[in-house]
Amino acid sequence: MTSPWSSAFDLSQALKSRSLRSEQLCQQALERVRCHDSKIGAFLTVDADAILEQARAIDQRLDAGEALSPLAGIPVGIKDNLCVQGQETTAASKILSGYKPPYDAHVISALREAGAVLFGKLNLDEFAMGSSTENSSRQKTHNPWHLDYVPGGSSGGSAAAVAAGLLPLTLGSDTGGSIRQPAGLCGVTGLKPTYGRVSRFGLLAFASSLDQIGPMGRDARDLAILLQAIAGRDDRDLTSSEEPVPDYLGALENVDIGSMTIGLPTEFFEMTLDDEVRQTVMAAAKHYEAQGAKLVDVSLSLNKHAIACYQIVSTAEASSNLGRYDGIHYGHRGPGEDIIELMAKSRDEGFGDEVKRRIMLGTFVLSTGFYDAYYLKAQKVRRLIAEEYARAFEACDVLLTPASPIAGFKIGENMDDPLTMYAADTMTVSVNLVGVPGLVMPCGFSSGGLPIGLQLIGKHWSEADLLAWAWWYQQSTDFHTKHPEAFA
Amino acid sequence: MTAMLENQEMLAKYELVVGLEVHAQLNTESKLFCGCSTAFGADPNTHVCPVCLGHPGTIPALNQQAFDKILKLSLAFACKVPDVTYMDRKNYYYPDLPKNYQISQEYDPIGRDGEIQLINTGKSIGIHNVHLEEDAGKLIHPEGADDAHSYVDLNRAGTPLAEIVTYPVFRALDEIDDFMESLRTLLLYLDVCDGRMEQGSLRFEASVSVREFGAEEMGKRSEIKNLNSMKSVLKGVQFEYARQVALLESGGVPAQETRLWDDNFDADQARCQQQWQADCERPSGSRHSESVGIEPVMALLPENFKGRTRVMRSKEEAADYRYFPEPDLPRFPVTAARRDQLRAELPALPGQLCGRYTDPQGEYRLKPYHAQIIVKDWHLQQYFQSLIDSGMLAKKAANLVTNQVLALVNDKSNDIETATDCPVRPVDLIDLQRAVDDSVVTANCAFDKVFKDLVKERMSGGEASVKQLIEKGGYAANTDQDEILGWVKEAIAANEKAVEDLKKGKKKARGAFMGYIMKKSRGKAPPKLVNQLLDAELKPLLEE
Repeated sequence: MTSPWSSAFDLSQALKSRSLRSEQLCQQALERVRCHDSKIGAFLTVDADAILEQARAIDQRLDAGEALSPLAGIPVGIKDNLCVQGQETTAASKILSGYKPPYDAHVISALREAGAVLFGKLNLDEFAMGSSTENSSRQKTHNPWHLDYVPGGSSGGSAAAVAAGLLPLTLGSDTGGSIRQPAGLCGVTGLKPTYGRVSRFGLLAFASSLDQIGPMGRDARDLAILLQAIAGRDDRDLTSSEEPVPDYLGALENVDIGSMTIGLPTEFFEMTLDDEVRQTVMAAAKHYEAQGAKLVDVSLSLNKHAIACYQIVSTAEASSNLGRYDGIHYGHRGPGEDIIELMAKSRDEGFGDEVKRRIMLGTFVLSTGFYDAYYLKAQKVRRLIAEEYARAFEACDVLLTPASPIAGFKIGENMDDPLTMYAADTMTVSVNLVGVPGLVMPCGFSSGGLPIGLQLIGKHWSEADLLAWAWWYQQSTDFHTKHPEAFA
Repeated sequence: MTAMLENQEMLAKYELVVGLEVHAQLNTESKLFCGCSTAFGADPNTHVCPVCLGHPGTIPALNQQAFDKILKLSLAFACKVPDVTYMDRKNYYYPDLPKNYQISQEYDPIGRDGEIQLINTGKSIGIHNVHLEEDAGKLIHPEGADDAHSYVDLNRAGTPLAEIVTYPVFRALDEIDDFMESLRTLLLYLDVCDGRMEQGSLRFEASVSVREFGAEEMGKRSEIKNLNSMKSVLKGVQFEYARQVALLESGGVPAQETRLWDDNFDADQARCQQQWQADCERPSGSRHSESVGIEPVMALLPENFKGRTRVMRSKEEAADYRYFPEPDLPRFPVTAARRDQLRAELPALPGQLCGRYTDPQGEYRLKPYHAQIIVKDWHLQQYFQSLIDSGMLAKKAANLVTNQVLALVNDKSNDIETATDCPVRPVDLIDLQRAVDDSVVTANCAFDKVFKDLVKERMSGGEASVKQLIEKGGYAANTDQDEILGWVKEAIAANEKAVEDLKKGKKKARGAFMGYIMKKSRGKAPPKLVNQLLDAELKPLLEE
């Protein structure tokens, strides 16, 4: 018995016992996409033949009794800023229209290795720059809980596909909250791992020192399965870590809420914050407390500088990372009489407004005469924020915050106001600056019926703990099992 | 005559100030950030992969071998090396640069404040910094009007480069010459670069300014690029000095700009004069500084001087490179242990080797003249060392490499450019020496006739052994005592005067008999045997 809302874990059991075939599962998912994706616009590309071919190959191996990873036969959706060999990968940008990478990203090879079925490419804000998925050059993605609302961003397609019951698991990427904020707005579970936990090789870079790939799905246990497959050192990305990868699934059971100290960063609750969000998140904290967890107030006073710091660091890196898109070697080419004009036209036509805004900002902060005042200063602030986090973690094991200051906003609402849009990341960006992991899961609903997300922030390399704490919460609550009626 | 005198005065008034920037390709097997081959001369765009093509999503992974080589070079210069180093990005748009940024080192180079000793004068030249970076690809502009396209070859993109920047310490051309040779030699000794300027693996750029002697302030410098041989470096500097002096004397001021060396310029040709004139008359907005006629410049240069520099871009047009630390790579620690290990592994360098070779108490005891010739040329030194290592006496080996081998290298009529290219290998010379030692062939014959045959044989790809060549050429020593005794007697009979001279104690007179006998034996009589027989025959005569 499978439903569109079955967890990957349960599907995996069924696949292993052969009471379910991957082909059948993928057919169902394809059918769901056919029925429902037109409402939410999560997918950019779905190649049914390729999906079924992969599924049949895995079925054969499962039939033969091969011992495969729990991901074997499970369809996994891919954010379209991850390279899949020979399959169009655009980061939702016109400048990469038609670009088919000659290689697989590390996480894609890892998924193939684990026997997962690569199930289509998901919409995002162009080059992952945005908080609403409205910056996609291709289409807008809608929040399954309320189609007038944004799904969050930039991994809006990845979040919406799970929330609408199209897929059990997806991959996202998170530079300033791009997994966690849409997970919060769409009521799914998402994890941004520690910087260096997952190789970025094959992730179309936005900001190299902040980008991290992570899993999105229905619950923490499913995330554990997906993270297990993609985590670990890759020699092609020297910023990926040699830190041993623990058994995430096994670690779910070893949880002692009674010995847990939860830090509530006062500044996160004092800032402009929707009352419903505050109350709902505090209720979740109390839920842990009721089981014996200790709640303590901690101060992260520098968080107020995080957005500014993030804007400087991320745009500086982006302005350089996006330099390669010049129309010469691949992607969209504009007209030009000479090489300079050709490059300029290609970029002018190929990039959207938000991307251009960030390239200009990044170019400015790196310019001679401004480098010290902006980039260097931002690096110092970044270090101070990291030090403050380290101090906070002396007093607690985990930080608990809202995933987003509000339960959601409507499509088009913030498009003319970039600063308000940037503020949507206010709960999430400092985590990327510091490099620690953050997990978001649903903990309630607004009066308007939109999910409200809770964020757990852990110390470096504490993914196993975060998943275990979240899994405990999900076993004792049912918010993560709710789904939007329109997609039942 | 007066003009000449004026020119002399002008030259005496202005001091030349030059700093050099060197790009040396590190001789690693693979590129700096990916596994692609660095071999020269492959078909265009065959040594490429997603990483060096700058494909979306790719990330550089540092080549440890390249890192060790740049570290070795920094240590050989006795540079200050930081405990932790990192790469930076230099952002600019150019079609031969796939990522539109170059991974380089700007803020914290691997080596600072080092020095290099010049081989000829022993003078020390200050190294400002040494750093690691990736090479760009090549743009190919086909000659002829049929093809209006430019082509990009990215085989070279991502090749590891050492950039070496000197302080502006050069005041004369011969010092620049000495530096270039000394640096090339050092790179070869360290095995970090093959030094092949013709393949672009070693490239020089010169920053040139002039100032009145005694002035403290530096003049505005121009940076000369496109100097593809040591000769063009010297000519480029010479031209630039003359141009700047002429400009100053005509009331102008040199500008800070980047200039290109142009080998083909000939001031005597009307076409070139027109070009020069056209450059002078460019719109003033672009502020180019060719505002001096070509005649006053040429007047300060030797007769028939060919070539010139021309403006590439002025300071106003220079790009803002927006350097910042490369976020795709971690910081790399350079531990004290690693530094010590690499320092200990540094090979003996020319200065040290020269001392070792000439040490009167040492095992080599070469003449300083020989030692100098050998250590200055890494290839020759390597050749010499292989001979020694195979057991040849140092003096013999030194004689062979500085005579036979060097003659081949210096002979312009063959393709042999270095001792490494020499088709006669050290093992051949060892065989030849053994034949001499075993009296199979006389030394004279061996290192003249047999050697020449060996060269011919090896150059045509033949593998005949020394022994076979001796047989084939009929060079085997003549050991027929009776025949030699006959020649000895003839020699004495034919040289009565020499006998008289010997009696008077003129030992040199003996040469006459030897010459006679060697001629008769066509060089095949072993000198040892001849001497024995000659002594025996002369003894009664001298006792008379």
